[in-house]
Amino acid sequence: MQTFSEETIKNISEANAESEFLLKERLNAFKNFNELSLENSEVFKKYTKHESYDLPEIKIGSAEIEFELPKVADNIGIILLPIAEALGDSNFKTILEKIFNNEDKFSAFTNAFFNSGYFLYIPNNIQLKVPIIFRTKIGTPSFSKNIILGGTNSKFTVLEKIESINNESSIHSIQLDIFAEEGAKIEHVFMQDLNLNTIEFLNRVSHTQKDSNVNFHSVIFGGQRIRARTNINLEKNGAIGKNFEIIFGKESQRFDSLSTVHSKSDFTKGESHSRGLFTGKSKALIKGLVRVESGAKKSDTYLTQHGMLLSKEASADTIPCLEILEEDVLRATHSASVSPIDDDQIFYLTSHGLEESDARKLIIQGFATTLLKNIDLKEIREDISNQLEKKIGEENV
Amino acid sequence: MATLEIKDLHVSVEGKEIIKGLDLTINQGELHALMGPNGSGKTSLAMTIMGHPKYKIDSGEILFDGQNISTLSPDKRARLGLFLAMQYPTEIPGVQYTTFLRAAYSALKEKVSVMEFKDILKEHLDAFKFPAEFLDRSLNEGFSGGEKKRAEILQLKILKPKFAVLDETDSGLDIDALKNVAESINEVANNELGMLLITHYQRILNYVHPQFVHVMIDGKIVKSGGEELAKELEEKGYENFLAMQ
Repeated sequence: MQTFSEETIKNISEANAESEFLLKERLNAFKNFNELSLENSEVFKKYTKHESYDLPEIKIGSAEIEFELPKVADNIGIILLPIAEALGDSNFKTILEKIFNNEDKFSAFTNAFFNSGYFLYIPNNIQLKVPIIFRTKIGTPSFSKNIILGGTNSKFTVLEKIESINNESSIHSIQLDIFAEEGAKIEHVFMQDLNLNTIEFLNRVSHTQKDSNVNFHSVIFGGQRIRARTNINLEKNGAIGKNFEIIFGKESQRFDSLSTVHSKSDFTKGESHSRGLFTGKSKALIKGLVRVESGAKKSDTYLTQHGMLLSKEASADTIPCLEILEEDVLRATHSASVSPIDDDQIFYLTSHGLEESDARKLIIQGFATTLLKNIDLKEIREDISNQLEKKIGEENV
Repeated sequence: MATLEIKDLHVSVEGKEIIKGLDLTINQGELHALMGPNGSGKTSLAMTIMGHPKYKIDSGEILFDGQNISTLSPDKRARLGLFLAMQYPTEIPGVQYTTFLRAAYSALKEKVSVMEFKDILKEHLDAFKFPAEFLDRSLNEGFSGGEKKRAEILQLKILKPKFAVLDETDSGLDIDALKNVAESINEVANNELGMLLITHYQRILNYVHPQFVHVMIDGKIVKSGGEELAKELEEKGYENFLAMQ
């Protein structure tokens, strides 16, 4: 068994024959991990002051990642490498400098201990109509560092499916950085169905050049405790970034999600939308932060967080926060709510002949799927919609 | 012959009595108009007939074909053949209008596939001037006032109930939409359907001609008559009737 220590980090680094530079970055990340608190923002600290994560001694494994690339991938210069190999490649030096930013405690955690992951590069002007699919099977605790780089005016979708292959207690930690060059449009869809004994740390960060667009979509079903951080960085003029998050909580699952939209330039557009369904004794904290820096003019930002409680013992809190340091904004708004199913909605459907249980399921399914229309590819929308229908059908709602 | 009989009905909402002893009988094939000022209890009556849980029957009964339906759930009432077009149709985000209507059709008529249902809908759509994308929109969400009302009438045509309550289906409509809705009502009105048309204004009665008109004031029907009663209301307003309670 291994503990989360410097010694373990040195072992991982040695086993992968890594450069000194990388080992130094890992050790630095570990130092950051130990020093950082669970929340950086003062606004949210009070909600997690009693929180902690007990990290057990574990045997660090590596995730088994299967992938599907379009058939033409080789001919058009798509590069897909295991992360260890990519990090040794001097061609990607400029990116390397940005991916060890350990601002969040668990970004630092993954950066210190990662032992799997991928690097994907889609060249300039390549537009793909089929998704690139990664299927990750978690059997042992795993720490993945993934990087996606979309060249100028590239357009593509990455679908990432994560599931457990056993019922053992485990840790799944993932740090994903997406870099979009000028005019690139990248969709990342994350479907997670881990077992209910696994702790998940999910960190996603977008880095957007001029007129580029990175959208995150996530559907989270599994995990015992799920801590998700999504950072949308609108770095250059005209950048767009959106986050669409669907959470379906059951039994005693606990969710802690924070989505941040950060406008740093002019004419940026950022949105984050969360929809949560909670049954059993599940609990959720859904936080959202929009920050518009002084001098970032004409930004358009929007935050929505809505939770639906499907049992008396489930609970959820939505906490929106706007930090607008620039006066010249087009929009900076939010809406948030947590409530059971509306009686009038049930009545509308039952008065048209639907039995109450069918009416409830239809309302729940509708509530959860309102965000799916934002996914570009129909096959993915249908896949998620079917999954949701199946999961809702399994619960006594 | 299907008959809806309401006998000495008393209804309260959150402890406050709204309907205070109401009697009304409607036979299959009859069109009745119920008129009254705001707050007289018209919508409460509609909701009570359909079984909204917020409206509590304190005494009296509602019989449909002789069966007391007062304690039946709304879906059971719908399956007996009752229908309510609501004044403010509820918005249900993410549930497509077609998905909803097919579910209702399957529950009330017969189970049909998506394709079969599309054919059933197609027959009616042109007449309603609904754009094709309308069907994929979320139920009542982002519908204009007129679209919401017409969508309710479309349901009435497709679900073909035995008895329908139309709660202020004429309110909030411009003159063209009003004529359109009135035409549809005339189209569905036949010997097999009993209808209660609840309205605040006489306006729709220029196009739809009920055999019976009732005036409701403060939770009771204070006067019943023929179409001439609606004309009297138009001329004199509710003032004279307020004294009758």
